[in-house]
Amino acid sequence: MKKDFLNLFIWIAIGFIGAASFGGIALIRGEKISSLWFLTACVCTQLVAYRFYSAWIAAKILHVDGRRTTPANKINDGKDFVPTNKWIVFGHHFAAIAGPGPLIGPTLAAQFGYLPGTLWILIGSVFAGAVQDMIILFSSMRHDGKSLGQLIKDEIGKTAGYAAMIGTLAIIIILIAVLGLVVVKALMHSSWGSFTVLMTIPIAMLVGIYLYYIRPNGVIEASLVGIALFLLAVYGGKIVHYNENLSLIFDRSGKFLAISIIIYGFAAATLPVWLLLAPRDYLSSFLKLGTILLLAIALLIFHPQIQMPALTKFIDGTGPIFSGKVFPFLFITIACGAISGFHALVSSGTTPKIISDERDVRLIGYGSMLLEGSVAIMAMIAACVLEPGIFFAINSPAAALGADAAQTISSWGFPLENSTMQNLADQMGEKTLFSRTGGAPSLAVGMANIFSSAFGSNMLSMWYHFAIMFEAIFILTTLDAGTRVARFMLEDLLKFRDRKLHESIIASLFSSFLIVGAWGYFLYMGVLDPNGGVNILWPLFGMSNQMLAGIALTLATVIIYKSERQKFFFITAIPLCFLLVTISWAVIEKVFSADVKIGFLALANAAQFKIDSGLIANDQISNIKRMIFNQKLVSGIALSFMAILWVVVADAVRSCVKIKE
Amino acid sequence: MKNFFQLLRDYINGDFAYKKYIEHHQKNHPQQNALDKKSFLRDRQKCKWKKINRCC
Repeated sequence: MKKDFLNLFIWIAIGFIGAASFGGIALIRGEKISSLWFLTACVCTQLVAYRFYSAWIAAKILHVDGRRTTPANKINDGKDFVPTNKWIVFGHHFAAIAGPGPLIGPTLAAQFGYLPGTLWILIGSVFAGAVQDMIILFSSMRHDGKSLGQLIKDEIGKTAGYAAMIGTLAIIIILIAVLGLVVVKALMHSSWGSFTVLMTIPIAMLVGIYLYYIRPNGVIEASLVGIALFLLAVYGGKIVHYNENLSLIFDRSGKFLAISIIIYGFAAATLPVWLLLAPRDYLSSFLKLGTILLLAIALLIFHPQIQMPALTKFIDGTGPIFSGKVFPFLFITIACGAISGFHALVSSGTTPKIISDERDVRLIGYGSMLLEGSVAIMAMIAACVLEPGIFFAINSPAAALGADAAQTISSWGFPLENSTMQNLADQMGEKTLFSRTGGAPSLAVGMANIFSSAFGSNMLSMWYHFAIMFEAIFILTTLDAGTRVARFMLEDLLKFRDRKLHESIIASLFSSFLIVGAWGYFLYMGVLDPNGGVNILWPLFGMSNQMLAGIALTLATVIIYKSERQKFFFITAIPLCFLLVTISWAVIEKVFSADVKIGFLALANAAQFKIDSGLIANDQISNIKRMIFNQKLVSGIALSFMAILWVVVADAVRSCVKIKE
Repeated sequence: MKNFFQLLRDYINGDFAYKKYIEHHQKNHPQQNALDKKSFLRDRQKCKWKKINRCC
């Protein structure tokens, strides 16, 4: 009795502190607030949601039952299905879902101020993202670890199954293109960064060779040595940067870097996994977990002041980083961290096959997503501790800044001197920090500030390049793994196995070429785009990820609807309706808006008009024509994302109506 | 706690997976030869990267 009372008291206190921090974030105006408010709001909200909401869903809707045998226990084949300790499964699952997405989305969305993004991350992860992850994980586990595509085919129908499969392939291609663009933008004309990231390739190969030939179970020792070498490569970059001849070699244009990444992607997809992909993944996983932990500790020690206002004037849609109003564009800019459809693929992959007790789905499905939400909050903090003037100077494309960048930014109401930016660039070991779009450099500046303040050292440039290396490694791992998976998916789609082509080297080179060509095309298009490319590719990625989330939530809704707990189907139907409205709205606006800054077609028409009226020099016409074609291409892709989602929803409604009859 | 870290280490290194494989093998196919650790881990790695296990 006494214990119950104490328990109740603690939860009321957590709820109260959480609500107070929320109130603080939302209501304090005119003075700077501490980042501690964000961390407490985040932790308390998530604790309450985990303790009550996830428990309620697990007990009342899923009827999670610890006495039921899981596929791991039932099949236990010593290979894929192996019962595993729940904390290890948690770590495995978190390492799989946490990618670069939750770091980049919040950074870009900070252009609206800290409030919209923070609220969406917290509310979205608790009511949508984590619910989706847990229910898909649970459903896959109850169906012997079936994949999302298979579950959709079984529970909804064949049409929906095919739509989901094509959608999955499309999201991987767009994801890789935009991530490649982020790396290109981060390394462009940065000899230090390019050298460091280039060096990580032979280091990873060295680790791979050790693990393959010498000690296959020496992962920990090899990774530690590898990470030490990575740090050495960061230091080596400094030497390159300050050496006149060497820095010229590694100072490369965006086009050069884009082509290098395309070649690298092709190599990574065709080389044996043990040589590059697997060792790079070990290194990146350790680096990822270590850096996130370090960032959390640094924020707790240093808890910097937030410089960004709660809301900026850019909520009206005139933002320089990406255009469009806060609704719907916030919700497709921050996908990972709030709700990410890609997680449904991971949740119906390896994880459901190694769970040893059904009750663990709460920790693994719901808990991992909450942790990813807090990573997104940390990225938001890192963006908002920068002076807003600096933040906009780094993230706005050159076209938006005009000739006198500092003057333009000051005119937006964020006072900035050109000399401030030059000093900052010198401190970080870069030539310039103006218009370093894509989110990675701004996150790296934020992280460098936090790290060097918390750990009391003056190595700003080292921290900056450590952060760039960390982001690039992260991204390149996703790029390698994604290209390879997409290649296998394409081979499945083209029925390579039936045609006895799956062993053929030429056939696999061909399928790799198609996949790399597809994302390479979009990557190169983004690099050529005068507005930095992020304005085209990031919304496209957000739409595709939310489309997949919509598909996963449709599946979850159908599963609940067909069970005895039918009346609770609203817990996934409400987030689904929200996504349907947001995606459809965003797609229609992005394609058909008359504003050339937003609408793909409006920009194409405006350019066509210029050509027709002879305003464009002859040597530029082919460039402009290609741009027009690309705008039409991405319009078609965005519309097909919307169509795919509606086809799945329509098929789901059909299958639910059939059940009723 | 010490056990957990040991488990974690074995899990990362692949020793845990190999142990489970051998257990399964001895129980279900005792007459066949089991793979040695190196080949098993190599095989496992190959399969791992045919599936989606990294996210955005």
